[in-house]
Amino acid sequence: CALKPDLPQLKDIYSAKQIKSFTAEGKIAFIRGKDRESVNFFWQQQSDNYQISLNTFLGIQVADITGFTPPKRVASKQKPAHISIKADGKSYQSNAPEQLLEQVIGWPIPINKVANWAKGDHQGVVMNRHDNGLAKEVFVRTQFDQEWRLQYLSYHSLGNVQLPKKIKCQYLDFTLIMQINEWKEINQ
Amino acid sequence: NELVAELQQKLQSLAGFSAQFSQKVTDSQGKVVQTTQGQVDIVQPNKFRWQTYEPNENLLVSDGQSVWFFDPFVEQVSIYNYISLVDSNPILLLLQPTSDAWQAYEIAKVADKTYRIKAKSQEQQIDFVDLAFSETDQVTAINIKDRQNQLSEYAFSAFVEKNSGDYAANFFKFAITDGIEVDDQR
Repeated sequence: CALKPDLPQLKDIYSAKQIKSFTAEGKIAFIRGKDRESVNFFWQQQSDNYQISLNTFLGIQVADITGFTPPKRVASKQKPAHISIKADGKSYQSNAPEQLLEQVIGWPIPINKVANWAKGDHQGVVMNRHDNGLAKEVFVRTQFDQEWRLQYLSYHSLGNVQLPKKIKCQYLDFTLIMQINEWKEINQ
Repeated sequence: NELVAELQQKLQSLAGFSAQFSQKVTDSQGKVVQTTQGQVDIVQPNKFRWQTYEPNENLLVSDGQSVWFFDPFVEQVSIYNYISLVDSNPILLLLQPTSDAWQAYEIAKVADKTYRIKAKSQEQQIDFVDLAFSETDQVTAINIKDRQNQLSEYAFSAFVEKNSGDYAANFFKFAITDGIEVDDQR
């Protein structure tokens, strides 16, 4: 499924950095010691806004997450990060997305970074590459001085751009694995 | 009521079957958020195997005593007691036409051959399950509506009647191999 017929706008996209909006569908796993859990996701990103639906394999919704990640380069008096989560029939809101996710979903998902990591726009130090030159292992230091190790295990090729298919993200004893089965509605 | 009896009678006549299914999950705004294909094998009263295929591979299998849920994505199998699951899950209820767990559900008819199984209690995540039969009483669809108004529709095809003699002894069991994390909830 190299080039999707419904993605005409792909022809003038050559790098992940150009991609401002997308829809991605797949599976995400959370592992910490013996504690492991996986859930299906449907992720819609519109520039700095995201809407993520997390579902069981039977299709029952576990959480509906919407949020905003402030772009780094804008001046200081910008809108702060924001997240709202609907889960177990309740809704939660916060300006500290990662803390609220850990509190409600139970896992410290680096939500402000995962959208870019998922596109392969990691802004980290590439330690080694696949034979075709694509990043394989990357170290990323976040603004909270966390050092994440990202492993780009496989890629999809879509038009002129290669987008990650399976990514393993590790920080201390926490591992997040993302498998993107399908990229759609990719736009600049 | 007589609808419960009618549905139970239909289920009892389904001693066992195998079928392919394709699942489509539509959220409350009408977006398709998930699709999966797979196969289901059921032998009354309590043996089943619900296998979904790549890229969303999962396996839910029961021999009537234990239920194994295998998630290859995290290389883990969770094991439950069959009894503890059957009451809380309307889909497993379909295996037990005579179980008294049916009292926790109301049955309505939403079409000539489609029954709606609705939980009386509100805590369950599942609002209702619709079960549709063909003219010849084969299962054609199972639709699950959750409390967030999300609909998971299973369309069945290649329906074949089966009995336990058609299956190998360990078909309704899960063989734990090394490298798989075991999460035993029994």
